[in-house]
Formats: sequence, structure tokens, C-alpha cells
Amino acid sequence: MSRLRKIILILLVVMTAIGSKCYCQVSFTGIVKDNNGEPMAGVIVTVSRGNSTKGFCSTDSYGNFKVTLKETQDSLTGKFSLLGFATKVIAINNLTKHYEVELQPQEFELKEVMVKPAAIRGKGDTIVYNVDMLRGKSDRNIEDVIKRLPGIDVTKEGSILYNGEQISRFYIENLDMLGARYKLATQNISPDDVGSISIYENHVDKRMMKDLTRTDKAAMNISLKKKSMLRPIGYVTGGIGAGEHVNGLGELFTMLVSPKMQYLVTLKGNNAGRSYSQEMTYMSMTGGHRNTEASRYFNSYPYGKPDVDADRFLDNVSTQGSVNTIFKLNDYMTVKVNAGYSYEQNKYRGSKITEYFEGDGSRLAIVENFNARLNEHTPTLTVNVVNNAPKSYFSERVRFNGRFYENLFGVDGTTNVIQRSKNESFTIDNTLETGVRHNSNIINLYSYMSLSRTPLNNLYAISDDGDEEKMIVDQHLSATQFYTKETAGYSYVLSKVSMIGVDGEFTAYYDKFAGHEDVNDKPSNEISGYKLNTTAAMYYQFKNHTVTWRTTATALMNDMSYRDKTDNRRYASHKPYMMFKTSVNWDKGLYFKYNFSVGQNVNTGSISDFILHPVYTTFRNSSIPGTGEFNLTKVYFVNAGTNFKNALYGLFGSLRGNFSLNRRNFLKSTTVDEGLTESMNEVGKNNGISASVMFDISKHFGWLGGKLSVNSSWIYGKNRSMRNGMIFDVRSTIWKINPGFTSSLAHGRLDIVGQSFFTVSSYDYTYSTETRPLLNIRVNGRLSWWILPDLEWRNEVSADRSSVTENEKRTNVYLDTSLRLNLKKFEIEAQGRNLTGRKSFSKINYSDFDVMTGTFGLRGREVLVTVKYSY
Amino acid sequence: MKLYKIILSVISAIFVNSSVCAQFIKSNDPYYKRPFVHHDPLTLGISKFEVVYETVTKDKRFKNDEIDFRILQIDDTVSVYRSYGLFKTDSVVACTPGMTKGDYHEEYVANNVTKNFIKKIYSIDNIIVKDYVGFEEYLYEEPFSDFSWELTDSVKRIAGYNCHQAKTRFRGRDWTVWYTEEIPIQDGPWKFQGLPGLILRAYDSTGDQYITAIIIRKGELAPIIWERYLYSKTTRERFLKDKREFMDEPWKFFRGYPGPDGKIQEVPKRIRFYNPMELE
Repeated sequence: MSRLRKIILILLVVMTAIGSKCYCQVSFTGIVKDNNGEPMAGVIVTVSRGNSTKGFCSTDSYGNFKVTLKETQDSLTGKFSLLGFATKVIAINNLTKHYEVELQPQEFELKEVMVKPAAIRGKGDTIVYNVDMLRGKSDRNIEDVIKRLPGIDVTKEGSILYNGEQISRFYIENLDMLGARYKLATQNISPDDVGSISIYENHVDKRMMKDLTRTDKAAMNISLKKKSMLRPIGYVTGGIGAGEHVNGLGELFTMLVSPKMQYLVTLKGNNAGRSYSQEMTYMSMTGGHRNTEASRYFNSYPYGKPDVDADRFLDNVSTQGSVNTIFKLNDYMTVKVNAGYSYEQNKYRGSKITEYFEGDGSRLAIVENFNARLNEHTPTLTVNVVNNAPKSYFSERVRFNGRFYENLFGVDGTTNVIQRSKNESFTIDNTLETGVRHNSNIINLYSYMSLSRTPLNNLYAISDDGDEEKMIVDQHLSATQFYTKETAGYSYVLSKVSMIGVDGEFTAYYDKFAGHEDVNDKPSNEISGYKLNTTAAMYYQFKNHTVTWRTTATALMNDMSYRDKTDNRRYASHKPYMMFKTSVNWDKGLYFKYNFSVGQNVNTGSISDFILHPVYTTFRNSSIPGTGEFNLTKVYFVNAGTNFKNALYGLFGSLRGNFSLNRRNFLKSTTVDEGLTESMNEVGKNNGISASVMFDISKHFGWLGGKLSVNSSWIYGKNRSMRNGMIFDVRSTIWKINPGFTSSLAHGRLDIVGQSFFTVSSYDYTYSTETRPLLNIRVNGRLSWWILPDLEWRNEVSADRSSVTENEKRTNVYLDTSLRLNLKKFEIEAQGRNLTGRKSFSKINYSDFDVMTGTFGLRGREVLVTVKYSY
Repeated sequence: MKLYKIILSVISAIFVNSSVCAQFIKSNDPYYKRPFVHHDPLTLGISKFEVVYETVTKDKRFKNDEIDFRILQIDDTVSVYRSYGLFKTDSVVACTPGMTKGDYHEEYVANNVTKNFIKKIYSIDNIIVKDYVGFEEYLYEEPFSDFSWELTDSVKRIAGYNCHQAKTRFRGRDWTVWYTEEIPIQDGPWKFQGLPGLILRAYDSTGDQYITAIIIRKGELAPIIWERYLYSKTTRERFLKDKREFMDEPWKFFRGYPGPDGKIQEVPKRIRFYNPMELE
């Protein structure tokens, strides 16, 4: 009975449910006709309640429609739409009614839309910046645009940093024509010619290693607009001006980019302050060339440099010419040739007051007023053949780098001296790199050989105290270095995620150094010998999509033998050392990357450890770099960092920390008296610390038409040092914070760019009774206003506030202005420089124990009118 | 005199290199110097509305996404969804008489052309798909699918149009699409259709597929072209199976093909980027 009751109950429930379903399913039906009464097919009928669409259908060929609704609802509307007819909306009051709707013809108005592509896009490890959307109208070259890109910084010297780290490669249309001399491109290519700039994160340039390894370095690629491909682009500029003398300027830049070939040619000359040789300097991506021991003793700026742009204080003549070309012979093979020559004549003047700490608490002040004239010739040539195939790699590169200079200094003050240094140095090097990948086996070979010669490096100084001229220094140095580094590596791929390998490396230095000084009766130096480093490194690597972990253990055998002919002594050492490093890289999702490494390194000494007799670096400074023992530095390091990027929001950030403990068997020592400052190294235990934390963040804002950025750093160093025979622990701390912004407002008619630099530096040492923090502030701003669509008024203001004595601060303000008129391909510009008429720049600097106050003369007010033709 | 020589040599460098460059671009192969003949394509109609979609596809085996652009050309009775690069290439061909095969090849490569087409014939609710596997070109037909769209109350403004959200599960993926009733066309990218307005955005629940309209414009009376090339007829299921096998192990299909030197080519065992819209 109870079972029957249950069955009845279930049946009742089911029937009720079906009944309610039947009851709720209702329809909106009817017919749609045109104004002639003809039924219309394909009309879209939508039933809505508010914004919510409840059902829809389209009319059949007889104009009939039936929209089935799930349940009866109030406030329903029916919408009838078809292209070419006015959309009609009716209230549905009665769903049992058969509606008849008439549509009137009406031309359809389409809102045409083109969605702007995002200014910044992320595609995996590639970030693409759209140049037209991110540039400012006043940007003169592509470097100005790069400075605006979030995540990227350009240093004062022109180095490009991505998330605080130097880029490792610079490509134009994915070809590496310029190598580390990318300023030739970034400071000359017009933003009008560039479509996009890309950053390749964790870039591995060897195709055969792409899926097997990763780097922490990023590469940059410039993609040209289609209109700027396959034809020469560039500019010719001529200008004339007046200041302290008549200024002239002539510049030619031309470039052609095609899929198979690229060239870039520059020819420039001026005496208006611009330095062209700096365009050709190697940015430290792939390493410069080696030099001899004798080439490094003389500094062209022994009195330091002011914290202003070089074109404010150098009275110069600068010329430069370069031809760069790359041919793509097939998908993988390229041949490139880079030839360049630059000549610089720079004059500058100023004074330097050095207050030397004498060890006993007293200070010795030396005053030097100087006039300097520097002449430098720099020829370079590079030929490079690369075959970068998926399974093999081959690269052969030959380079020649020369540096020939003659510097003249006239010094008065504590002593009156004329000093001349003359140097001739050149290096020829050859790099051969090859590798092959076959199934799970990978073999890499690397060979670098260089021959560096400094046949001439002379220093003369004549004292002019009173009526008598007297030669006080007559020094002649020469040196040769032959250097070779050979590496061979074998890797075996254990699985899709792990790999083991061994790298062998053999490095040989043969050095010869000779120097004699003929006036002061100092003993001469004549040293020659070799250093051989043989290393075997074994590693294990785990790499999946997100984590790369690599651990390397390295055994180093260091063999050195040098002979000092002057003292007839031989120095030899044959010792083994161990090194290790382990590093982890973790890509966490799309936005975060973390890296961590810990390890220990050993740096062994060189020929300079056995230069035991003085080498004059200026007429009142000499150096004895050697201790007579091999210098050894053991470095224990920990590095950690994280990068954040969200290309969609244009937000980039990085936080990096480094700590290292440096154990040296030598310490720096100086002795000071009124006539001579002597620097040397002394044998002694010296445990130093260096630590740094860097934080960079930048964000692109659409409303600002630019970015806001903050770069900040804290750098700490601690070392042991000797002054006049007493040992001190010297500590230095430097805080830097650089907030900046770029903007493009009022539809590009107003460009405002600002950057400020706050630096607090302090040095203190054992027994010092005062902490001496120094605050320097520098603010640069640029305002460009397009008064007319083709007429720009540009003002650049630079202000700095620096300590000129320990108690006195000075504020300098510089103002430059220019008017630029664009006439299609021609551009006429009138510039006025240093309109505030600042005559000198002064700043106080600390170096370990000493206080230096430098004052530099500046170029006066100047005008320059240029005409530029771009094609 | 020296300066004069320098200027002359730079100018000669520019022009000598230009001609060298031109030679490199056009290639020395006589094949590329032959005139390009565009096989008279079939004109299906005149494009009245055009929507360019950006498509982003992810393949978890690869780091980088694949980004492509496709155009939906709409006439009263038919629509064609195809490579925007091919559309641009066809436009250049139409207005550039005397093109060589080299010129065409350059355009083809520069525009990142892919040769697959989806034609929707409104009058008979039919879809024709042309696509390729390796070098082989295929064609299959299927009726308009019943997407069983579930309309939601969500609204969003996309490309200046008010859009409504709809969801469906279709051939292995859960799709969310946004359509606008302001453009009363029951069409959309790929095979999507059947909503009371044009579909402007579509994406699946895994994030592997993302399609969004970036250009909406009136047709510039461009013909809607349907290539007349010979395509082998197949079925959807067979095509998807063949394509999957090919993309997973392409070297098996190319084995035995002679290279430019006549020798049999060693094909590298490299997987291809592949994550199809239809999983079933």
C-alpha cells in the first residue's frame, strides 16, 4: 500500500514538473513585412527584458517568426532588425497574439572602427613596442624614443639597459650589423623610419642552443617601416654658428635595409661641441679588445670630469667616418664588415684642489690649474662571418683596433709644469667559434687570439719655476701582449629536461713590459713572462618550461712565470684552485622571473704584480703596481633578483641584490708629500665587502603619452687601505634615486621630459671623527612646444646643486633653446646654447681618504643654425 | 680634393649597394623573373562589410603565441573568412600589372599569408572549408552548426559597439563570445554564426584561442574571391585527423621529397605549432 502511495506521489511530482514546464514554455510569434506588404526573410527578431536577451530567431522565407521563451515574463520587448531597414522595437503585451510588424527601408549607418593596436604587446619572451604610439613628436632619433619605453633605460653614455641590465645584442631587422657599436644606429636613425622596437628576453643567439639553455640577458631588435626598407634612408646636415669662435658642422648618415643586405655609412665633422667618436665606442655587450700593460697608465682626464655633458666643457674638433655592412648569404649565413675612423681634438681647462689625508690627521692641499689639449686618432676594422644554423654554429671574426693620442697639459699652481704624453697602441684579434649538435651530443669550440702592441707610450714633463726650464720626467714605456683563450665543450642531453657537460679552457698570456725614466734616476722596469690558466668545468643543468638550474664545478690550474731583467729575478707559481657556481632561474607565470646564484671565483694576478719600480702616470703621480707576489683574489658571491613585467599595462620592474666577500692578499697603499703622490700595492690580508641593491620601476600611462620611472640603488663597499704607512678600513656608501618622466600631451604638440638625480655619497675610515655625506642633485628637463604644426620651440633646462667645499653648495642652471622648422624633407633649426652664461662648474668629490674639488671652464653662449635634409 | 674623393666614394657606396641589394631581393633564379599569372578566381560577391579579426593562439609546447589576422567579408548571401595577408596580397596583385613571380613571392611572404578559407552560404545554411595539410589542399562541406547558444545578461563595449555575451560548448571547447545587435548580421569569425548580431570577440575557456575584431568597416566593393585551385574533397573528421598526424610528425610526410639539388632531403624532426579550434 505504501509502495502504491509512493508511486502515485512520484507520478504526481513528475506530472507537476512536466505541467509546469509545459505551462512556462511560451512563444512570441508573428510575421514581418516591408512597406509594400511583402513578407521579409532573414529579419532578426530578439526578445529582451531590459538589457537581458531572452530569445531570438530570424524570419523564414514567408516572413514568419517564432521566438520560444522559457517562461512568461513582464516588460518584454521585441526588436526587429535587418540591414537596410530601420530597426523596430515593440512592447510585447500579449504572448498569445500573432504580431504583424512592418519595417521601413533605411540606409544602414555603420560605425567604422579601427581598434588601435596596443602600444606595448607581450608575446612570450618578446615585448614589442609600437614606435608611432610611443614616440614624441620632438624626438630627433630612435634613442629619444627608446628612452620613453617602459622597462628600458638609456645611460648618459648611450648604453641600453633592459630592467637594469645591459642588452646583449642589438639587431636591425634581426641582423646584427653593428655589434656593440649600436649607437651608430640609435643616435642616427629617425623615428619616422622605425615601426617597432622589440625586446627578446633571455636571448640565446646561437640557434643550436636555443631550446637547451637560457641567459639572463635581453636583446633588442629594430623593425623598420615598410616604406623605409629597400631604399637608402638618412640625412645630410650642414650648420654654422658663433660663440667664442666660429663653429661649423657637417653630417651625413645613410642606411639601407633589405632582407638580404644592410649598410650604414656615417661621415661627420664639427667644432660645435658634439663628440662623434663616442658614437663608435663599444657598449660592453660582447667585450672590447685587450690591451697591453703599458697602454693603461695615462688617463686623458687625470683631473676628473665635471658632471655636465661633454659638449658643455670641451672645446673640440671632432670628425668621424664609418662604413658598416652585412650580407645575408642564406637563411643562416651572414658576412659583415665594419670600418671606422675618428679623430678628436679636445681642449678643456680648470683647476683641482686635492686635500690629501696624511695619515696623522693633517691634510696636505695641492693646487693644480690646468689647460689640456687632447688629440686622438682611432681606426677600427672588423670582419665577421657567421653561420648560425639549427644544428651547427660557426663564427670567424677578425678585428683591428688602434688608438693613437698625444695629450698636452699646462699646469700651474703648487708647481708650474708642461706635461706631454704620447701613445701608440693597437690590437689585432681573431675569434673563432664553432659548435655542432647531433642528436643528444653537443660540441662547442671557441678560440680567441689577440696581439696587442704599445710600441710607444712616453711621458715628458718640464718644470717652469722661475727663469729656468727643467725636464722633470722623461719616461718611455713599451709593451706587447699575446693572449689566447681556447675552450672546448661537450654536452650530453640526458632527457628533455636535463643535460650534463664538461667545458675545458686554456688561457695563455705572454706579456713583455719595458719602461725607463731618464731624469729622476729611477730604476727601469723590464719584465717578461707568461701566465697559463687551465680549467676543467663540469656542469649539470635541469631545464623545463619554468625552471633552469645549473651547477658548475671548476678546477683551475694556474701556472705563471715572469722574469725581471732589471733585478735579475724570476717569479714562478704553479697552484691549483677550485671554483663553483650554482644558479636557479624561475619563470613564474607570465609576469614574474626570479634568479638566484651563489658561488666562488678566483682571480689570479698578472705581469703588473712584478712591476716593482715606479711608473709615472703624471708628473706628480707615480704607481708601483707590483708587490713581488702573485696577487690573488677569492670572491664569494650571492646574487638574487626578480623581474616583473606586464606588457598590457606597460608596467616593468626589477629588484636585484648582490653581495660579495673579496679576499685579497694585497692592499692599496699611497704615500703623499708635496712633490709626489705614489700609489702602490702592499702584501697584506685584505678582506673587503661589496654589496648593492637596485630597484627599478617604470610604467607607461596612456593619458600622459609617456612613462613615469624610478631607478634607485644602494652601493656599499669596504676595503682595507694604507696611507703613509698606516692601515685603515675604508667604507663607502652611495645612495642614488633617479625619478623621471616622459610625456607627450595636447595631441603631441607639447612634449615634456624630466629626469632628476639625487645622489648621497659618503666615505669614512677607521679613526675618522666625521661622517661626510655629500648630496648632489641634478635635474634635467626638456619642453618642446609645437607652436605651429611644423614649428617647434624647444627648451632644455639643466640644473645641478653640488657641494663646492665641505660647507658650501652651488647651484648651476643652464638653458638651451632652439626653434625648428620642418619643411617636408628639409628642417631648419636655430639653436642657442648656455643662455644663462655659466662660466664654470665646480664640485667636490671624495676618494677614499682625500677630498678633491674640481672646477672646469665651460663653453660660453653660442648660436648654431643648421639645415637638415632627410630622405 | 680629399673631401671631394670621400664624398664621391660614399655616394658611389650608396648607389652600388642599392643595386646589389635589388639583386639580392629579386633573387637570381629565373623562376622569379617569370610573369605572375593570377588564375582567374571566382568572384562570389561584393564585400559590403568587412571585419578584420586578430587571432591569438597558444600552444603550450611553445613559448610564443601565434598571432594572425583574418578578414570576414560579408555580402547579402555569402561570407568568406580568410587570411588578411592574402586579402592584402590579392589587392596588390589587382592593382599592380606586370608582377613577376618574385614580386608576388615577396608580397606573399611579407603579408604572412595562410591559405585557408571558410565560406558560409546563408541561403542553404552551408559551410565550405578549404585548408591544407602539408602541400595537399583539401575541401570539405558541413551544414551550419547548431551552437545551442546560451545567452547571458553580461554586456560589454567592444570597439565602440555594445555587445552581449553568449556561451556554448562546441567540438571540445567551451566558448564565450560577444556579439553586437547594432550590426544585425548573424555571422562571425571562423564557423561561428547564429546569434542575433555580429560576433566581435570569441575566446575559449583554456585561453588557447582568442579572436577579437580590430577593424570594422564598410566594404570597399572589393570582390569576395574564391580560389579555383583544385582541392581534394574530404570530410571534416578525416581532415582533422590528417592534419593532426601531419603537425605532430611532419617529417614523416616530407620524407623522400627531393631538395633543390635533386637529392632526397633529410627532414629535421621538429614539431610544429598546432592547437586547432576544433578538438573533436
